[in-house]
Amino acid sequence: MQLDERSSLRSALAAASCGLLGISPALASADTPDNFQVDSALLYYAEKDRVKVAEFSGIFTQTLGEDETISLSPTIDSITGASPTGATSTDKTQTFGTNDTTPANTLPVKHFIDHRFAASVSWQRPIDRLTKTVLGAEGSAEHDYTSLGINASIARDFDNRLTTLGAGASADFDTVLPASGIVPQGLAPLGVSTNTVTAFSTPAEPVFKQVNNGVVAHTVTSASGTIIGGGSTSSGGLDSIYIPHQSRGKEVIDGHIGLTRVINRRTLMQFNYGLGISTGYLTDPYKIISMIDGTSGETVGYITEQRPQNRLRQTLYWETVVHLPEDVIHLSYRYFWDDWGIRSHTVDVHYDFELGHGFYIEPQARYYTQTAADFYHHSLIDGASLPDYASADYRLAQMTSYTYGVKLAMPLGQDGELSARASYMKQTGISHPADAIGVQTTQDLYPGLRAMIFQIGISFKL
Amino acid sequence: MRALFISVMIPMLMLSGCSTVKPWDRDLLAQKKMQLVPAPLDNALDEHIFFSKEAASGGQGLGGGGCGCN
Repeated sequence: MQLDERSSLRSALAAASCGLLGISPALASADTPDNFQVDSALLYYAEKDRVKVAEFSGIFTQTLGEDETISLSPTIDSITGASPTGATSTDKTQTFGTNDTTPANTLPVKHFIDHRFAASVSWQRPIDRLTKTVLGAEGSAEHDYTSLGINASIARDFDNRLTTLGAGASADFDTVLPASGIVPQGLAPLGVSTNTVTAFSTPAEPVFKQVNNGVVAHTVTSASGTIIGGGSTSSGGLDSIYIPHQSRGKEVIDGHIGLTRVINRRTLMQFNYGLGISTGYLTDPYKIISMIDGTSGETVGYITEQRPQNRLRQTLYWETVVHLPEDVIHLSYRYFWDDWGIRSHTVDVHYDFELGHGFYIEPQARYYTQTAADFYHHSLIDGASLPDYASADYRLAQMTSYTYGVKLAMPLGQDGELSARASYMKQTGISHPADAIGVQTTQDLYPGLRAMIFQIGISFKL
Repeated sequence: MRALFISVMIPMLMLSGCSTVKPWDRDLLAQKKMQLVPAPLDNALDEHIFFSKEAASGGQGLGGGGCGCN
């Protein structure tokens, strides 16, 4: 009994001293100078019949002083598989370009391979006893996309450290470089020569476009199948026309304010408001839209998509963490809305079930739902006037997504952890919308998604 | 502005009357598993997947973005 009291006094004293040093009780881990923390994970993400991703990610954190750390987070992705093009399935074979056909009653997809390298660095330091700042920078590169960003945030404790107010902002500068080298014109038909090749005659960054050997008269086609020009073959089957690798910019500015409050000895709560503005090229250069006959519902052609050049996003976020007698439950809710007409609710719960001796099992569940963007159309009617903006990207459609997972963790040494996690994600949408026409009523117009996610993680201190 | 008010002022008012938790009573709150994001790497990987497959993103603070996946 005496030992228990002493032990509980020791932990109370430790907590009190942490409270004096730390910004938030939740952050009061035993960081001391010269600590080097490694968190790393291997992840495998596999969609049924579609995309597969293998990824390594890590967070390496060096403690520099009391409450001062610097961390580096590298990520390497390898992505293969196929992604829906936006075109809908129909009862006939569809052709999207040379050697690119989709059988009848099958969802058109585009196969691709990509790799992504990303890294971020983050420096956390205290300004005074109650205030800390975090400065960060990040970069990411794929063969058709690059991103550079900076961020800063500040948090200050009030009310005997029971309340923390925080604010932050970030700016990302992205560049979209379509794999074809050509940024497609929005809402432009596929398969129609626009004969605009002269626009590319003085390239800053010349590239050759391979065409069929021996073909003299030919066209130059973008990745999505858009014929953007033509010319004559000089020799060896190479196009004589120089085309610069086109790109478009995109800027993303985000800001947030937040309030974290200790409710009682076992409960912590957080409220956040976030505001984000995206400007520039927000269109997906690879997505297309089926044009259908207004009577039969048969696909008669395709056009490229086009999204607005601005997007204003807002979020309200609430999270609570409750320490039950043994276990810990994390519960969060997010409401998201934007000026594209998307409204979304997300509920996420993690239950940390303690098994003793540092072992735990953590069931995880997430519910997500969104309304469609105002300009989402599963297809457009041929001959009708085109809207200003249109996309058939299923990610902008009305959808509901469920994710269930479980994590198993065991201690590794004094401060380490070895973990394994498996999750299943399922997205569903409106497969048979009320405005389907003719043959479309026999087709599944929403490409639902099912994915398995496996992860192993290891963390330790050096 | 209304969203700002709802997200910050109302919780502040709601919580301002809460009982205080003395520093020596914060032993449970000091545990790693009581952090708002106890597993930052898991969280980052999840957020990246959801960001690439859904229209909504953000909420927890900064992070995400910088990817051609969406």
